Amino acid sequence: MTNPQAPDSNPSPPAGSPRFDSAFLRRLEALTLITRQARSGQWQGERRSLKRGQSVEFADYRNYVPGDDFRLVDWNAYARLERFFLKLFVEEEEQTLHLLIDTSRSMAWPPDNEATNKLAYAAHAAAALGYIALAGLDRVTIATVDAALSQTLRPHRGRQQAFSLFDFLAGLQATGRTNLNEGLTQYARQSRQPGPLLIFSDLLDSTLPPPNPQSPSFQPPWANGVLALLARRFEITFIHLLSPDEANPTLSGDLRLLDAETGQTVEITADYESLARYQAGLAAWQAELRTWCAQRSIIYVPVTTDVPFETLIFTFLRQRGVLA
Amino acid sequence: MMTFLSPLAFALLALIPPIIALYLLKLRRQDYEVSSVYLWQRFVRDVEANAPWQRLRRNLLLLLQVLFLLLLILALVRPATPTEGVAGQSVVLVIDRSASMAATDEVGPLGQPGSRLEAAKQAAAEMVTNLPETARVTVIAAAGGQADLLTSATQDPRQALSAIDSIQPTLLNSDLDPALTLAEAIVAREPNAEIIMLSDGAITPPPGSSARLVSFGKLDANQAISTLSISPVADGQLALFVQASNYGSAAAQRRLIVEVDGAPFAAVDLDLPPAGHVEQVIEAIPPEAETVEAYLQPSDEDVLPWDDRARLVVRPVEPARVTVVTNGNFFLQTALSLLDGRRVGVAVETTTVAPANLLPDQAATSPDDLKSVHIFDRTVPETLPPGNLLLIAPPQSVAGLFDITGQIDNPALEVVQPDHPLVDNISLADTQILATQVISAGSWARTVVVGYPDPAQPDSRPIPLLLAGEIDGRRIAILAFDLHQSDLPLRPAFPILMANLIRYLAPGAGGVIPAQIAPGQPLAITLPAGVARARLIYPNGAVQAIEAGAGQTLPVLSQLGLYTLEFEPPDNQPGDQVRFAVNFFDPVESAIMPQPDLALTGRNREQTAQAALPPAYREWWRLLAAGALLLLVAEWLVYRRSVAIRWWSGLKYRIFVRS
Repeated sequence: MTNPQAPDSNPSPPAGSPRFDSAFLRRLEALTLITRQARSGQWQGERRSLKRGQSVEFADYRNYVPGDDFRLVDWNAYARLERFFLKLFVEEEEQTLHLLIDTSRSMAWPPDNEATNKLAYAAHAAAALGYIALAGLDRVTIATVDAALSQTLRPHRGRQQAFSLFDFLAGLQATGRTNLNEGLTQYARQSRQPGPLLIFSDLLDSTLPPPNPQSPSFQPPWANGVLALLARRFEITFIHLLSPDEANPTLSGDLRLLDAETGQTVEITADYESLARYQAGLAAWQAELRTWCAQRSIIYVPVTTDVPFETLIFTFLRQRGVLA
Repeated sequence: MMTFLSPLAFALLALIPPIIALYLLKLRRQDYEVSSVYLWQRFVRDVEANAPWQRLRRNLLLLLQVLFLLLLILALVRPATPTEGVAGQSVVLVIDRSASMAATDEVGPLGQPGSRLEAAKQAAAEMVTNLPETARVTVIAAAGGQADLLTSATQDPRQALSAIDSIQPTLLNSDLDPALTLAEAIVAREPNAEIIMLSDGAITPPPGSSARLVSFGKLDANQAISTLSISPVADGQLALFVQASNYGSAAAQRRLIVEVDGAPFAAVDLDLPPAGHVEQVIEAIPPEAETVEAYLQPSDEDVLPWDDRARLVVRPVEPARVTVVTNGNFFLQTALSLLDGRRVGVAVETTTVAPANLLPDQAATSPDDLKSVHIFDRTVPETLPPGNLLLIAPPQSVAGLFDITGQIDNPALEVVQPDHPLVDNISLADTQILATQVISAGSWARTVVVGYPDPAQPDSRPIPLLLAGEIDGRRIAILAFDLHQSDLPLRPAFPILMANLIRYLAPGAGGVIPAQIAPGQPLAITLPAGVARARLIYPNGAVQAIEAGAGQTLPVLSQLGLYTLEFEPPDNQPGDQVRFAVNFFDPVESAIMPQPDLALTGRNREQTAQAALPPAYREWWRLLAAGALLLLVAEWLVYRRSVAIRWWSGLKYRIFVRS
């Protein structure tokens, strides 16, 4: 079944520039990213940091030790107790939103329909999410994953950087084969500031032999990469993209299916039974993924690309607690 | 026994192995690009069973295709079963609708008892359905000497079927001769034609018919009232005479019920021997009775109910006023005096006048009196009185009526109209006539009895001896010879002849129509003088107007029962009425024993021998081809079932959810 044919190296056409009008951007600005953990950042921001700092929000007292800034001594407390206490305030810093986009060939599907193209859909959604983060004074970094980690966009910060972000997304091209495991592991290793991480992928990763679906312990092929990310305390959200013809195939007859990404072939007789079995299998697979993710506090959002991506942003992600 | 008309088509069975082989060889699959085969590999891979036989086992499409091919081949070999039907290119169906065909000893389409005619119609319809498409069908409904051509050589089976369906039973007899003659004439013009007669065989076949008989009927169980008459007895009462006949081959017990004026009068149990009859006299029927009805109580042993009931109208005997103009005739006066109403049902009041005393206006008192007759014995007045006349040996001619052309001696008598009412119950054989006038009458008169001038030469020109007819609205009878010149007055026939003459000339209201007639009998009536119009009231209450006119023919009366004829006088006075009964007394039709072995071999038999016609087959290919078409549709549905199911759920959504 494995095909020695080389993966198709011709890149797909670019994902296209996301075009948001100002009204839509204002709607996006009303949203904020939810983070489940407070963590330290580099710069002043709007998120609670682990550090103590200079905001107006009181955090704690601590004993004075020589060398502390006198300005932080709480003189009222000294007047009552005749001891030096330092008054500590919550520091508010930025966070980094990580957007990982699967750019394997299978993402450039369907090739002839811009509206439901998975890569274009992922680029649009990523642009919207990136803008939300930039508007919230957070940092945004984007990486693309195919056979390995291929492209990364240096962290952007500030609303004025949105166009640079959009341009990067517009230039995305689907080229390689999928190896999420490798890509995720690399990203976990080299990322300096963990934070919310959204992965846009169709999860159609056939690098490892697919596990037996009858096996009681379901293990996706990219499990190790995800576990590596979790070990770095990333807050992972999977946006599982499927095109309409993948969710509801309308094939019929005796067919030899060609894999657009790997060149593999599978011979099937597409009739009512086999299509019904395909759909049952797909539903079971998604249920297994959801269970697996839930067990690891990963948010799993399946979406077909005929759903308007505004619905994804304003409904699905809010329902699942990614945005507020 | 099924045969195949073109068995060569079985060679097409050789197509089946290639179809299976093609499936085994697995046609080249169509290439189709998908984003990833990952999911297909995971979920649908087990579809690809690699063993070829494994594939065949679950392939519904292959099964359907082979079945389709088998059905198609079966249709092409044209399987056929021999049938009772016909194979000719032209067929003439003669359907007997006589009274015996109404016997309910056949099985109807739903298994209930049905009449022979229903079964014959069904069989005829089946024959028409099974005919080749180009065959021409002629349908003739026949009974009582009538032949109704319902369709003539039609190629439209629906027309033939509706014609067959429209045939209704009649009360007529089984005289199918005209129908068969007509059918022979039609067949004679067509090659490869066939006559099929659907009958119970209770018919008299014409000589030399080539028809094929399809027989109906199973039983012969039938009893009937075969005679019903009433006559006066001595004490003024009436006696009813009933004859009940058993036409079946088994003895039967039936109860005879007699109703007088609609009220039960008597009931008698009759033991009817097989193929025999029983007479029963019911006495003491009141003289004022008007109608009598006798019937056999319904029974399962009788499959033809029409002949179980008979009705009778009791007509009072009114004396006729007879004026005899004679110089004295003992024979005549004696014979008239015998007519007292008891013995022969005719009564007279006689007035005898000498010719010299006859006043010209004496008889003109009531010109439209139906009960007055003038008898002129050996004399003819200057002007004939109005009313009906009997002229005996008129001495001279009467202008416009007859001429005396001579006299002959010793004529030999012969009755030429044996069914004329004047000669009912009379035998004139051996009657001697010494001399007679030779009378030449106009066309109004019908000659009833003739005489041959020379008995040795019977083919010499006969001369009329007894004439009767109607002219100018009155009846005239002429007896050509003088009673004194013959031995007729000494014979028993003479008083009966006189009674017949009086009954003919003074009929009363009842003389217009007999008291009992047979159904379908053509009947000419003459309305009494002065009556312009009459109404005929049917047993079921229907009314038909009848205009006056010479020889007015009544419509064919096809209902059994009591009819009333009402005369409408011109001045709107309530008119007289006369009732009569239509009874089914037909021993030939009542003998319903079916005769399947009716010999119809004749001169044309050889010409249309059975061998000349191809055997009749019922073909089944249409059914098989329709089945093949259905299979084709099923195959397409299976092949595109995902589309079909989606379309169906869409339809359901539109129907149930939107509404």
